[in-house]
Amino acid sequence: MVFNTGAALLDAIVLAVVSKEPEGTYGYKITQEVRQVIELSESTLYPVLRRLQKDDCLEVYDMECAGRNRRYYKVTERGSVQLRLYENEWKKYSQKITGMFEGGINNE
Amino acid sequence: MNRVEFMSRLEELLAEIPVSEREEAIAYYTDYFNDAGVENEQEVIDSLGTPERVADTIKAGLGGKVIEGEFTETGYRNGQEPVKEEVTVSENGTGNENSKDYSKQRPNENPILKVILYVLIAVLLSPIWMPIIGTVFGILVALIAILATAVLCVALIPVIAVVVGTALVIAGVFTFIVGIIKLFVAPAAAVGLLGVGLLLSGGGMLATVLGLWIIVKLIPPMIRGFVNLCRKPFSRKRGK
Repeated sequence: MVFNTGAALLDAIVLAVVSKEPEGTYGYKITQEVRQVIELSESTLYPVLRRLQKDDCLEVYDMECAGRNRRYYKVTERGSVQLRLYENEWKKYSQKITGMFEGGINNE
Repeated sequence: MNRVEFMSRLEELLAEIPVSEREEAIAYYTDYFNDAGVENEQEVIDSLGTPERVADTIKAGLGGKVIEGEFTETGYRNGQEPVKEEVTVSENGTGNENSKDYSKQRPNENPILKVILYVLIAVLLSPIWMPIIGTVFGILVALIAILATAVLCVALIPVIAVVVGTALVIAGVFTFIVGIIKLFVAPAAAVGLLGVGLLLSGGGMLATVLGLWIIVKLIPPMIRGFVNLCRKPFSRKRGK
């Protein structure tokens, strides 16, 4: 990918990945799924998850799994609102860019 | 470098951040290694890079700085660079405004600065609190003095009663004796004297007994109570 992924887009992708699991999902899985879309180091997601958690967009809980506690992340109400906002913004943004590329086809 | 070395080095590097943040990060990466499985351990370590880089990412995230990294075909491209001080405000203000608030101010709020600030405030406000404390202290001392005087007075009453009572008994006995002598000279007056003498000694005995009873029964507990009252503020300070 030649384009950069800014912080907001990374937030949006993480929120989208986590929101796919109503019961919540865990760090390793989130990282693997995000990496299917964009390339990133495995160390990049922790600060993002932590920040989203502090901003009340994600909530965490521990669940026992195979004899140990694993931390799960779940999208909060606020997180889903934020995600919808990102999705709308992305739609507008990508349509404009696409429109520009395709020579004003989408321009009314 | 294996997983154990990696994690202990990471923990060392995170020594300066708050305990809760450190535990959180360590728990995350412990989870991460566990979930990746032993077979992927080396791969995860390679992808994470050095513990220094991971620690920098964690610290940068704590500062509320939006990591202006790039995710290009070669991967994330900001990790090797030292963490920059200034926050680059990007066009996407929406989701990241809050997080910027934790930045910068937090580390400056060290405890020493706080103490100095409090001392300064205390000194500046001394014209206000000094007279207040002085007045309160003065009132306290006065109250203790009044209480002590009251206790002394109360203690003196039975003593006086005993002394007066004893005097009355003696006076009564004398009057009685005089009455007996007078009985032969002036019987009417003598009978009156006898009555007065008996009355005096009876009253005196009563006063003496009452006074003695008070001294024996009431004074010691009163003194004890007073002493305890005085001791109270100090014993409380010692934390009982």
